[in-house]
Parts: sequence; C-alpha cells; structure tokens
Amino acid sequence: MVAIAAGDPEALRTLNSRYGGMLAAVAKRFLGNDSDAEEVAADVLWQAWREARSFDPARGSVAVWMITLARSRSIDRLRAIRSRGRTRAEEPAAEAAPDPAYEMDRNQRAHSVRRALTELDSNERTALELAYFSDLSQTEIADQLQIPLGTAKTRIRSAMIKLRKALIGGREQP
Amino acid sequence: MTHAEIKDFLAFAALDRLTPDEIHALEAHLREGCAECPADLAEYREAVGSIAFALEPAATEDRIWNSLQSRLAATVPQAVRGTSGSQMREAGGRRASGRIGMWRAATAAAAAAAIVLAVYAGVLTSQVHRIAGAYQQEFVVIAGQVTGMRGQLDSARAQVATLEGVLNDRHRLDRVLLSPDLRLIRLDPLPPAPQASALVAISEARHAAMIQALKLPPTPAGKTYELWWITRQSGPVKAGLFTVAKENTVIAPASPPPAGEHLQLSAVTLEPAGGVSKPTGSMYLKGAPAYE
Repeated sequence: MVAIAAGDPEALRTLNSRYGGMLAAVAKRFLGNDSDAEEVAADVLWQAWREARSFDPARGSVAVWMITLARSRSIDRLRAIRSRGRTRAEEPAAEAAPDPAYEMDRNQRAHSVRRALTELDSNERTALELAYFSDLSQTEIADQLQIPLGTAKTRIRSAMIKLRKALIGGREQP
Repeated sequence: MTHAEIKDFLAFAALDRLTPDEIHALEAHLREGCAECPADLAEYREAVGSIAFALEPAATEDRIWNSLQSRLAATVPQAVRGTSGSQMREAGGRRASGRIGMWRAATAAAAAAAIVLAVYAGVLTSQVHRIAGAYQQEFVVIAGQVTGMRGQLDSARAQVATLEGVLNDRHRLDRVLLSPDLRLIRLDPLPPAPQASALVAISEARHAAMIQALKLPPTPAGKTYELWWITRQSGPVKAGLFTVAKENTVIAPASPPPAGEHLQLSAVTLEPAGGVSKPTGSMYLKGAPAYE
C-alpha cells in the first residue's frame, strides 16, 4: 500500500495479480457474470489506488478492506442490474499469471477457510452463505430459509463466532 | 442499549446486515469509547473477509489489468491538461510579475512533467513485464516444438541407418553374385510359409554368403529366423540370423559353409531370439545345392 500510495503502477499491478481474481470471484458470486465481476474488481483496485493514503492498517488488512469494498460494490451493482432488468450471462474466463509466493500463502489460507466452513453445521453454513453472498436482510434470509428470524440470527451468529475462532482465534462468546 | 446487546450485533455488523437503528446504536456505543467492541468487530471483519479466500479466484487478472491500465493512462492527459492550465495562468502572472512568475511557471511545468514521466515510466515498466512474460510463454512453446523436432530427427536418423544397412547388404549380395566361384541354392517353401522362397549365394573365394528371402511371415516377437548349412560331416551348422519386417523381404549376410565339408542342404527355421546351436523350431524353407 505504501508503494501504491507513492503512485507506483507496478504496485497496483501486483495488487491486481494477488487480489484481482479473488475480488472478481466474490463479485461473480453476487452478479453471476465475468464482465460485471471484472468491472467491480477493477473499481475496487482503482479505489485502493486512489485512496491508499487514507488506508488505516489498524482497521484491518488490505485484503479484508478490498473484499468489503467488493461486496458493497457488488450489492450496489446487483441492485442496479435488477432495476434495469438485465439478465445474467456466463462468459469464458482468461488465464492469469500466478505469483508463486502469494499463491502458496493464498492456498494455505483458502485451505484454512474451507476447513473452517466445512466444520460448520450445514444449517449454519447455509445461513452464513446467504448473509455473505447476497443482499438479503436478516428477515429476508429467514424467509428464504423458512425459519423464524431468531433462528436465522442464531445460526448466522453461531457460524460467525466459530469462523472467527477458527481463523482469527477470537474469544468464544457466551 | 447495553454492551452485551451491542456485542450480539458485531457479527452482523461485519456482514453489513444491521438495520439502520442497530447501526446508530453501534456507532453510539463505539463513540462512547468501548474498549472491547472495536477489537471484536475488527476480528469479525477479518473472518468475514477471509471467506473470500475459500473461493476459487477468477482467472481474469489480465482483463482487470487492462482496465486499470486504461485508467492509469487516462490520468496522464489530466496531468498534461493541468500543466497547460498552470502554464497559462503562470504566463499571465509573468506579464504582471516578471521573472518571478516565469520561474514559478517553469517549476510547475517541471513538476508536472516529472509526474507525467513517473506515470509513463510505471506504465512502461508494467508493459515490459507483460512483454517479458509473453516472450517466456512463447519460449516454452518453442522449446516444446524443438523437443518434438528432435524426436522426429532421431526417428529419421534411425530410418536412414536402417536403409543404409539394407543398401550395404544389397552391395554385399551383388559382390557375392559377381564372384567367379558363385554357388546358388534355391530354398523352397514348406507348410509354415507356402508362399515364401529364398536364394542363398555363396562365394568361398570371398568367404561370404548371403540370403535373399521373399514372402516370409514377419518375425514374431521373441523369435528369429535362423539359416543352416547341413553337411554330411557336421549335420546342421549355424549360418546366420535374420528377421523379417512387414515388407516380407530381406537380404542378410551369413557365414559361408564349413570349408572342406560336403554341403547337402540349406534350411531356414524359426528359433528363439538370439538363435540356437542346433535347430529346434519349425522349418520354413529348405533346398539343396544345384550341383547336388
């Protein structure tokens, strides 16, 4: 981020090679097509480029910051698409050049997250995925799962506590 | 709202799933200086962010980078336009303020030029990296093609060596056939190969013998054809080995018959690869010297 803040385009390229694919993958879960997902990913990386000076590491990692931006922008775009009545379309993907060191780190992290998600109760996992990969409110999630709102909240909260404990080592909450 | 109630919100706050009232309550609680909740919220956000790592990354970095490069390039004209405006303003100032204005304009222009050059340098550097990557991929493809061509060359060399061997055998046969002491033995077919035939040429002066066989079945795996001299004194004597490929025709050298012995017959049998000292397999061809 320091290099980006200094205006180094190569640092932006590195940021793209590390996170571009993941940001596009997050956006695609919301939007359902590569073209919109790539635009969201490019928008997020561009925002990171423009706002790098104001990035506060104390508030979290760069990855989490950009993923949060990607989710937020995806939801905005999804709502805009719905309002225009656009349909989703699958498109073929191109190849990407890997960064071996980052790929190893990313793979290790992906493995940890997948294991943590696998260890969740299936009801908790379903509720969490709805909360993460959709723009549904808590009430709408409960409706979609056909369970009481309180149950939906309990499942999401329980899943989050377990995930936080597995990935971050956070304190178990009562 | 109590601290405990707020803590229940944190997981949903990290997921951006709070209602407006809940958002206001959380913000108020954080403004009050809670020592525990900000750290918990940060950990929840980190956990939420990590979920994305479970997704298989989309292979779209190249297209995203193209989009980013366009945006980077678009910042350059803005800098140039900014520089022009600055220069125009400074030019007006120069008329009013003389040399001070001129130096300001020059400094601004130099700074703008430095920015433009820095951006272009960065873009060029990234392009060089991409071009280098493309050349590297091309190199891998060419290296694969070279390996394939080497394999073809080795195969062609093996074929040439085979043809050279055939040509050498033909020359040797010609020399034996032109020998003044030439003896010929026609070998006739036997039941295992009713269409086969062969001619054996012997020159004791050249201490050489050759066999040319036609329409023998291709040699089975692990087997070889073996030529025999059968003399009154020694019985069957090993003369030479040869194999037959798909074309069913072969010219092969052989040892001449034992000197001073009376040659009664010549024969071809099918034997285990490497040959045997006495015939054990089926006999395919047999013939007696013409003078007999």
